[in-house]
Amino acid sequence: MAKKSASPYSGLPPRAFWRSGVQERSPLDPGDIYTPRFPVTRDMKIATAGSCFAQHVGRALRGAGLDVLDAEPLPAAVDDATANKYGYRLYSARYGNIYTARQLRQLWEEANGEFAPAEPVWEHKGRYFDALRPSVEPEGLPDVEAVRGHRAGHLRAVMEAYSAADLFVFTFGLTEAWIHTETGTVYPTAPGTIAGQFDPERWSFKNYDVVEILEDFETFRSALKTVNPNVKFLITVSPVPLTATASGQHVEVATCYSKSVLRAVCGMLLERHDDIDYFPSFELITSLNARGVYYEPNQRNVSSQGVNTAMSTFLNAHGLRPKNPSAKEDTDEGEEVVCEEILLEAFAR
Amino acid sequence: MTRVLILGNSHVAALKLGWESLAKNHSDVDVQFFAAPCAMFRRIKLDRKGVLGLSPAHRNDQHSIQTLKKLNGTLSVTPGDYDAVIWAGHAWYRHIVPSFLREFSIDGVRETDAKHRMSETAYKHMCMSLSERFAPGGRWKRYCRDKLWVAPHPIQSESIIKSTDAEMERWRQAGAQGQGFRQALDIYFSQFENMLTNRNIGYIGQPQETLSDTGLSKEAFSSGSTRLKGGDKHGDEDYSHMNRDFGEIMIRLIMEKIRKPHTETPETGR
Repeated sequence: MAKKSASPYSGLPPRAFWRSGVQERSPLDPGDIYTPRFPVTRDMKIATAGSCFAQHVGRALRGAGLDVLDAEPLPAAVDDATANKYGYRLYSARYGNIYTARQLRQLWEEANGEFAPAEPVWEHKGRYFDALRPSVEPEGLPDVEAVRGHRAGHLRAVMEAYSAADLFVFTFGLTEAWIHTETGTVYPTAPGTIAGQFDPERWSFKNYDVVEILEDFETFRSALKTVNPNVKFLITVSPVPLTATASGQHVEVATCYSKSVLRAVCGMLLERHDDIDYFPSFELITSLNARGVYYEPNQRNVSSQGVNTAMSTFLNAHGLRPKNPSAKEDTDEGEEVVCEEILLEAFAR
Repeated sequence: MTRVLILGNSHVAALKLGWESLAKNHSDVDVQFFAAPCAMFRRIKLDRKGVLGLSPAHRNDQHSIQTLKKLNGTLSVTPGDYDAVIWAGHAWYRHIVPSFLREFSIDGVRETDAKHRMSETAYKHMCMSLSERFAPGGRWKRYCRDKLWVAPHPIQSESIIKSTDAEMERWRQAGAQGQGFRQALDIYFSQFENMLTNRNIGYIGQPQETLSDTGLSKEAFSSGSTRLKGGDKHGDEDYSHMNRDFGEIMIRLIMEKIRKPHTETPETGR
């Protein structure tokens, strides 16, 4: 007969209670907020993708000496700022930010020849842009054929990187997106932001819900596992609020909804799949314990201190000591995260 | 009398030989040389007073002192005292262009079956960024305003194509594949020149007549090159130093350029 106790909460560890887990924790002490489900080790090949915040994740993992895959590498002599401007060294291939799970699924299906995006090339002032990653060639390319040729090579790189990964790290960023109404093709930016022209007859706003996002990620996971059966997944939610919303809601309300949906999906994925781990970067950065100091004065961008805290928490939990973390933080200070969302601000004025 | 200072590393040797041949044709020009072997030249800095000499950390190094005295008869020089200053054999990312071409097919420059593809605009931007890293420091601007010219280190000789040295593989590959390599180098140096022009520094590119269609220096201008120190010949495995014939062509170009506005685009240089 099981031993009776006063309450089912009575034997729980301090981390289970708000007072001991948060209220009495020292300010800026992340505590034991993260317990890895499986180890991340230095011999793992890691692929990264996701929204703006994922750039910090990739950089921190590389900085810690982990084997982050780069299927489209540049000579080491090229500085990071120049490389980043053209989409190099941000992720495991030059796809730029992947804000939604649908975008990730679509990319993988395209790389496998199972999906052809609608209107894949956008024009702006006589130059041509890859609509699925318009920021990687800021001045565009001279013609449509060049865009198609570059994309074909890029898709091979995506296939190479993802097929070789032992760990796939994805940061969920947004639920809101712009799609080609007729086909559902999703794009990282609204037409007209970097290139192309917005036509309400052809493009429409989409706010993905829990069911859709869950299905998109699970579909991606299953598809990737058919070519890479041993791959594991590490998922996070970006703590960066929306720059703008097209939902009709106040941007703060829309942000809460979006992050809640993404967080719920992560929780469901964690429950359903043993090969998925969740790292609570969202909780760390937004914690009341941090009193907002993990954000820049614009209350949107994550500060270098916040990034460093989140990534140190992750690395320490895996016994992976950052290589000279303070120096890295200094280097990163002022480093601008490449983010198409920033462009939206120009349209808000 | 126009006073010219030619300074730099071991690549000054060819120019010194060239000047020996041609000085008689330029009686209105006085050319002085101030050079040191490459590793030692890195220890030479322009100080706060505009004097070029060994940096404080190496000021008492006897080997450096003896070498500088032997080569130049002096331990320091003041570039600001001259009408024109030519920095010869100036460093640039020599291995970067072959490295790019090994990995990338560059649109409109050299289109190959390389694993990756790069746009011409991206390549140009990267060449500019890489050039910026070799910009002369602010003191040169302060003490040599409007009279500093930079002549980059010559391109490797085409004799490198015959090399069996594994370290030369990327050069061998790039040179053996011909015209696109030359175009890729032209873009690099065009950006290097822009970098200098933005700083009001003149550019003296490698003369076209010294370059082969491969983009590499013609072997005729590298064979028989001599060392800065001692005047001995470089060995066959040396692919970067040029000879007296090259030096003469460079001297003609320098004499022509120092008489023209400082940043005029070169017609004969790369």
